[in-house]
Amino acid sequence: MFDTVEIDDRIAKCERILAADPQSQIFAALADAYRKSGDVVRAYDICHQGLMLHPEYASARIVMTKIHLAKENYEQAWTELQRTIDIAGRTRSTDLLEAEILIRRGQKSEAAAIIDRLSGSDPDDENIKRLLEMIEKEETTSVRLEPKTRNVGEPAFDHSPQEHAVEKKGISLPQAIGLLKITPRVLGVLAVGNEGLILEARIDSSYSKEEFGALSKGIYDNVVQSMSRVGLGAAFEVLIETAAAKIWIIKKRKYFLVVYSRDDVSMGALKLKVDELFGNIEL
Amino acid sequence: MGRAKKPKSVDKFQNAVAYLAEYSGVRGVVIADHEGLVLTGRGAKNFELEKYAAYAMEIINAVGVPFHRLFEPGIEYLVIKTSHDWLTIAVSPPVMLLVVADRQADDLLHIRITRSLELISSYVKEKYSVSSAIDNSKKNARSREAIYV
Repeated sequence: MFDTVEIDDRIAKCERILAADPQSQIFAALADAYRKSGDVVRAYDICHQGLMLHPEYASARIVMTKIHLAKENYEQAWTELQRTIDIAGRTRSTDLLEAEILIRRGQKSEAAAIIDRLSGSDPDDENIKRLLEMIEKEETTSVRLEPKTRNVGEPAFDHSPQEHAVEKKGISLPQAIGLLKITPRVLGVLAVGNEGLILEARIDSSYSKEEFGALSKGIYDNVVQSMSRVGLGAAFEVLIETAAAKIWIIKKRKYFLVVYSRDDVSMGALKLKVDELFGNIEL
Repeated sequence: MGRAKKPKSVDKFQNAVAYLAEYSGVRGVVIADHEGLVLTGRGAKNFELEKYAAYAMEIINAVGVPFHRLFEPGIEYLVIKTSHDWLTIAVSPPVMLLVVADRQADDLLHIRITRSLELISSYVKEKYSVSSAIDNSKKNARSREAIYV
C-alpha cells in the first residue's frame, strides 16, 4: 500500500508547482499521485487538461493509461497506451501495461507471451510476478471454461476453440490491429481503404502511415493490372519478401490489410493470427 | 555428326524445374534470365513458358516501382494468390524462378521452392562464380525454410 502521508505531501508539492506554472509538465506527477491516493476522477481531470497542453508528453500518456485501468476502462487504456507507443516507442513499462490490459480483457495467452518475453530479461521483476498472479487469479475467476491450462510462453495464437470464439466475437478493427501489432517481429499493421486512405494503423517505421498505406495500395494495384494482362484472376493476397522485411497485403471486401514484418517472422503463425483476428471483421 | 551438347547449367536447372513440376498442384515452372528469356521450364499442356516468363518480369517490374520507395534492397520473393492460382516469383540473380500452382496446393510447396532455389544458386555459382550473391541467397533460403516449416 502507498503511504498516504507521503502521497498527500507529493500532491501538495505538485499542486504548488502547477499553480506557479500552469504550463508545467508536473501535471503528470500530480495526476499519478491522485491516482495512487484513489481519487481517479481528480486524476483524470488533471491529466486530461495537461494533455491538452502537452499532447506528445509520453509519461503523461502512461499515467492516463493507468488511470483508465483504474477506472476499468480497458479499451480506452489500450488506445491511450498505443498512442504512447506511437509517440515514444516501446519500453518495458509499455510492455508491462500492455500485458496488464490484455489480462484485464481476458486475453491471457497474448499477455502470457509478453510476460514470458519480459521475464527472460529480468525474471525477478516484481511486476512480472504480480502479472503472473493476476493471470492465475483471472483463470480461477473466469467465467470461460478452457479445456486445458495453457503454459506461460506458449504462442499467443494457440487458442483453445472456446477462447477463440469468445475473442472473435465483437472484436473491432482497431482492437484486431492492436493485437496483431504486438505479435513478435510484426513492425506494422495497417487497414487501408479501397481509396488508399488509412482506416487504422499501428506502425514502427520512418514512413508515415499515410505514405506506407498509399504505397502498399500502389503495389496491390500494380499486381492487379499485371495479373489481368496475364489472364489470371484478381489477387487477394500479395506477399513480398526482401532480405530484411516482408510486406503481406490481404484484400478484404472493403479494405486492405497490410502487415509489415521483419524477414524472420513466422508466416505460419502470422496466418493463423490474421485468420483468427480478421476472419469476421468487415466494415 | 555428333549432337550439340546442352550446357551443363541448363541440365542442372532442369533438375530443379523437374523437382518442382512433379509436386501436386504445380501447373508450370520457368527459369528465366534477368531479361525474361526462358532458360528452361516445364508445364502442363497449355502452359506457355515464354508468356509466363515475360509476365513474371512484368510483375516484378510493376511491383518494384512503388516497392523501392519503401525498401532497399529489392524484391527477393513474391507470392500472389488469387481465388484459383498461386504464383511465386523468386529472384536469384542472375536468374528468376516462376512457379504457377493451384491455389489449393499444399503449403509445403514453399519448402520445395526454397530447395530448388538452393539448387539453382549452386548451379549459378558454378557457372558464374557469383559468390556473394549466392551466399546471401543460400542464407535467405535457409531462413525462409525455417520460417515456413
